[in-house]
Amino acid sequence: MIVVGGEADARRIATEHDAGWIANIGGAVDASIDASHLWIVREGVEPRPDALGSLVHAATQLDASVAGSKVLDLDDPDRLLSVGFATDVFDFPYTGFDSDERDQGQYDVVRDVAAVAGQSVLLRLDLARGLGGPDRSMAAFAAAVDFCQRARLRGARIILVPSSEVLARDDWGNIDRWRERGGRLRAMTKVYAPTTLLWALPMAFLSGLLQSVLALFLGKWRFFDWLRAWGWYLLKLPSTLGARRVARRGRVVGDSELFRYQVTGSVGLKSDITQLSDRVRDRLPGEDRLSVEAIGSEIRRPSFVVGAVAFLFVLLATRSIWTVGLPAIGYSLPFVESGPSAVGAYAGGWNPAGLGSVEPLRPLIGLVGLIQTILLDNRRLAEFVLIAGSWLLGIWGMVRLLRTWGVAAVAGTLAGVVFVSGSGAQAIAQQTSVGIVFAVGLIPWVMRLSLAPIPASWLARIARVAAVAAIAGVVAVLAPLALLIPPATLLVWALVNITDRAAWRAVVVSGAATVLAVPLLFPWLGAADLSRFLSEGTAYWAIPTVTAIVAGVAALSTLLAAPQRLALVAGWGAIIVVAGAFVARSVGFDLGHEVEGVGLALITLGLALIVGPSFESITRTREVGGWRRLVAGVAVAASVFLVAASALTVVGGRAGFPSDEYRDAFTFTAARPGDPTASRILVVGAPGGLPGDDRIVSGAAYRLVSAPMPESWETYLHEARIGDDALAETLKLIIGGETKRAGELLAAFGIRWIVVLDDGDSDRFTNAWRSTFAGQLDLVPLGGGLGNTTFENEAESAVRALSGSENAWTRSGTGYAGEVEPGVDLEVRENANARWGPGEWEQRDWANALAASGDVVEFETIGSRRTQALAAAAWLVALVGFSWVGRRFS
Amino acid sequence: MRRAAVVIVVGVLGMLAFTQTAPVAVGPPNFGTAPADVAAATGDPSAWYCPWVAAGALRDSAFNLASMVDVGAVITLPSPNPTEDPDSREIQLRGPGARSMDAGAIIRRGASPGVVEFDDGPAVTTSATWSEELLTGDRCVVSVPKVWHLVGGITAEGFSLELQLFNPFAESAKVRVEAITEFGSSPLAGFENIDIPGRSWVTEDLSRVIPFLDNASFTVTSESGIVIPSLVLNNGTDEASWPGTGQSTTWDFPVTSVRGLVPTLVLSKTGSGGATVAIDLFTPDGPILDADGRIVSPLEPVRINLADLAEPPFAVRVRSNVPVSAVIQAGPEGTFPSTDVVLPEDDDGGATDEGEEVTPEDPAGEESTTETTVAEGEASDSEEGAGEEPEEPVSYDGLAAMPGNVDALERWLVPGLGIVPGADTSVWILNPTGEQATVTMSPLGVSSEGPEKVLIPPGTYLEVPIAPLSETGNSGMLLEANIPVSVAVTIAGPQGVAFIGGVGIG
Repeated sequence: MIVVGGEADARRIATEHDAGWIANIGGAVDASIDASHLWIVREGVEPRPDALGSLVHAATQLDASVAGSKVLDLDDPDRLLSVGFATDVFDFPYTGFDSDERDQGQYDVVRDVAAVAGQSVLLRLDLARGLGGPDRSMAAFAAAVDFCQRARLRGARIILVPSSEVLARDDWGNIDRWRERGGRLRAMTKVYAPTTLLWALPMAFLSGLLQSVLALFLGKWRFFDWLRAWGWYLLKLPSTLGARRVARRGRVVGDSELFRYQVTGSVGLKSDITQLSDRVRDRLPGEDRLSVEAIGSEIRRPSFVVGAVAFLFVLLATRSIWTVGLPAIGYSLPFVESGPSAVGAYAGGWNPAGLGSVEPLRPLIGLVGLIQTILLDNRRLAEFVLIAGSWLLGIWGMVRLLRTWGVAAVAGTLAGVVFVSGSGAQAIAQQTSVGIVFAVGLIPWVMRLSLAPIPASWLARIARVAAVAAIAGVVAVLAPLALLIPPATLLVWALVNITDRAAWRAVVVSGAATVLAVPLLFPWLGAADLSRFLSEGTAYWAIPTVTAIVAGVAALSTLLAAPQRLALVAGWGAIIVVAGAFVARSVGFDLGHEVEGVGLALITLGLALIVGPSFESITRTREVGGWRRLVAGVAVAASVFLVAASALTVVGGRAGFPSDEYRDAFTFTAARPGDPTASRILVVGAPGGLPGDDRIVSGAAYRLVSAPMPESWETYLHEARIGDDALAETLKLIIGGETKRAGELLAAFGIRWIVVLDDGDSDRFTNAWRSTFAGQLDLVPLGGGLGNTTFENEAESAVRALSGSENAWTRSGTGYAGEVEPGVDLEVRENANARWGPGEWEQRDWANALAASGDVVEFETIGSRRTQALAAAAWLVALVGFSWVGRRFS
Repeated sequence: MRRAAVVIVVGVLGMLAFTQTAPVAVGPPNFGTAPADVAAATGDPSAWYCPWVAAGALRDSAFNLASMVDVGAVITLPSPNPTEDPDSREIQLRGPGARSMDAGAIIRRGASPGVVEFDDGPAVTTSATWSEELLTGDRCVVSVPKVWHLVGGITAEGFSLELQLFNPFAESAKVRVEAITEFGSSPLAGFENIDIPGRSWVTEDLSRVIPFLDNASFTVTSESGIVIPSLVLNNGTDEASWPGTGQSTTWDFPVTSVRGLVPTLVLSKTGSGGATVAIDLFTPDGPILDADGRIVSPLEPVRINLADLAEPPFAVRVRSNVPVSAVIQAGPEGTFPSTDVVLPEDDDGGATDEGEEVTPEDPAGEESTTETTVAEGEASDSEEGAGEEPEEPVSYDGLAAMPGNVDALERWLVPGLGIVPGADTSVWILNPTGEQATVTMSPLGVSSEGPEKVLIPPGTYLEVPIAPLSETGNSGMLLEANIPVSVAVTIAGPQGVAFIGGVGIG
């Protein structure tokens, strides 16, 4: 007998019983043992007295190389855990049992199986040696399946001996953990032929992903397990491939022999679907329930159905994001083509908006770039994931938040729908405040975690604050001012419940988390002009009268009719709504676009906090009766209106965003001769009607964007610098009619196209700009069905970077790439900055003159900002780590 | 209690939110309004469009440049084939100075409108075209409105009339041409929508489209793009060309005729309602204010034989209560059909015209009988020294036309002097005011001659003969007056006669 593994205690016990001790099972297999068979019994398993004898008898009689015992539940010895199992193609074990199946001898026959449980297994020692024993890196079930499959490849027979019984702990709950999942992937890779792996692995990927999604509806979060399993698998791939060579060497059978012992389909998926079906069945009302009371109780029932509908609603309302991407309109511009470039530009790189600057990009650009990079640098996927993800998280978060006050799932889901797609959310999308749209999904989570009961241990409390800070930090990165929403709204809640200590605790937690989240805003926070950030644009949201009245009716009715707790929640929501309206209309305080977005976020949050309690109130048949029930009905009617208004977002499928206007306006440049990325587009029109920020000259708006399509990192313009001033002067000259060769003047700024954006019915600005450029001798109007008046510059060298020998360099990220020309200089038409290089730099007028001795010129990263960005990322990882560690070990 | 408190807080905040003041509405842009019809030179870079230049086998043309400051100029002649690159020449001009550039030195391919771009200003351009049998000239155009007016067209027998539409810009232009004649509004088939490709021109033979008309005015409206139109009138012996203009309530004509030619004034109005027009004459002896008055109907252009009002030469000012278009045309007696209604008792008999007689078969042939001189006698062209035996004044034969000057200004640049071989050039200066004008005339060119001062009594004009370029080396002149005056140039010779309006400095 050899005791395998364990610490000093195990060693001591082995010594006391005159047994050998060895560190791992591999060592036990390799050890010089004068035996023919090896019986492995896992720690904690209690074999019956005749377990080994039955195994040996059956194995020798049937010449089986592997024999396993029947496993019964240690806590309930009549309950079957395993009589060997089949697997599916993904090596998921399948017993065929009903849940809690009792042992009544129904499986008491020796038979060949795909695998036996690892709790008690008798192996031929030479086989075990030849296979290298069980794979120590795998979890229990996966290791058992893996060993049996490898044995079968060598022609071994694997049997289950029901007369050999052992009692063990039920560890079937671990079957979906990441180690088991990863182990199954490794097991598949070791034994299957390449042709089988070609389809089996991708199917395993999809099957696992689908299981993760379905698990949501079962209240389980499996996504990280699935991710971790694949991560572990990929990490272990080199050793897996090595083990595969060993496993398949000397094989005598092929995959078909393995398939004989497999069931069709996916066992895991079937199990989840079965559970879902059971839940649906449980929630369907009986046929005899037709009364009003029954309807009220029915509303409480189909939370799953409502959740599924909400999920479908999200998919429908965001379908255009999936097919086309974010609409290019206002402040909504497509993500940067290269995620790593965006991250690099944020972390101390060049800000490419307009004529460029060292002004830091918004943190949103960095985070979005990082997410895009993770998503295989697919920007449309990143756009969809962020939008749809925000919506789904927002709905779910609102459900969880409202559950704090006893609002059931259905009412919470409806409130969640209003939260992400109601009138307030639609206003945010119409304003094209992309960052706020993303951030909104996380706000209820910050609030929920702040409001959750404080854990007992300090470690858990720290973990809680860290978790809130991490989420709040992501909110802040997406929309800096939105960071203030949770603490401010929770403060209002505390004031409404002034004697409620839990409410004040939530304020403290949220406040502390807010402070801890601030470092995530660096390097932007350290270098940005915050007063300009707050005042740029105009914070003036036009209140939609009908919606305001309906929301007011809903709020007031709920306040009057609902039970105290719910009424206060609704009242709190109403306060948040009107506060949000005030903030969104604060142009009188010289506050701008960003503040307006926060105001709108408050409005949407407040509306959800009204809608949820109003729907919940109507279900409280005992507490809400008489006249109050009537008033509650009015509240519900108003809330239904608010929910129905959310359906408008389904129409366009753009998550409430306005329709795209810029793709048609700018992408024609891709069809023009030459590389469009080498030049810029001068966009002119009415103030507020251009992509992102604009500059003003003679009362009209203009700005520069990149061809063929501006990207999100160009949204916000920096303070005007020398090049921007030069361009403004040039435009004044052109407007003043002091030249007939505007093209030649604009070519010096790399402007190859001029697009006059339509400004609506009056066309005052359109006509003014059109008449300015129409009389120029070197601007060719482009027709060809373009919706906007567009001119192409005939002047030569209308490019962003031009070498001394008249070669145009093209954009490469925020730098430029071109032909190496030793001894020739390169004019980079960005605002002058000595960090452009490599090589000698000098300022030429407002631009940069460099040597074209290399094939790439770029802006040298500002080291301190890069450091700050890395530190911010590390801080986020630390916060997440603290929250995980604290949760796990508390 | 708490609920009530919440309701109050919501109400107060809601009121505050609702009563927030709206931002100031975005005002209109400070540019892009319809440009004024500016014909003057300014201190900015400018582009001048010369609609009719022709340097070919028989004709010579010159671009005449003058500038107050050192300028670089680019003269561009587009190719008849829009897909081909235009021909251009860069020249430098030291200012104040003048220079004439032979169009043939750039390209000699016949008719070809041109564009002259100056990189600074004030600078002006005129053009002149001549051959052995014709002489014409234009003040080039600097402002390019969307609506142009061209008056004084004649498609009667013996005349040919062409409408030239020059599009110097890259954008294709689409124009609509409308006509009003002595018979009222006249439809022009096929002229509702004329396409002029970018950087090219189109010549329409109006004599073919609307023949047999004595007096036709045209309105050219750009539906898209911009064109510069001009009319070219040929009577078989000479050619006159003049560009389109806008409309104005005042038109000055410092010159209306040279010896041998009879002046007519053509007036036209568009829109609704008539115009009440007064005609002032400025003779060497002084002004004749309100020498004539007319009501110009929007459906009928008016041609007035100015010789009926006074003995030429004289200068004219047209004053109107509403904007009208006006052009002076001069030709030998009997050249122009008269659209005036002439009563039989006003017919004074035969014409005494010099040079060839062109008498169309219509009552215009009676025009000669209206040569009732109001003021008999010569107009002394210049203050010749007394005591000399007066030479027999030269009499010219030709056809000339010129739109008026809108504004009287204190400074004028006059290029293109003395450049046509064998022709006499004169600068005409009108002082329409009640004060004496002191005009300093500074030659521009290679000569080192200093400026000369002349005095012009109030309400009169002065003709200043200019020596040929070959003698002086000066092809231009800068005129600076103490009060606003109006200036024009005549070039007259055996080839024909050309009237060229002056270009003021704004």
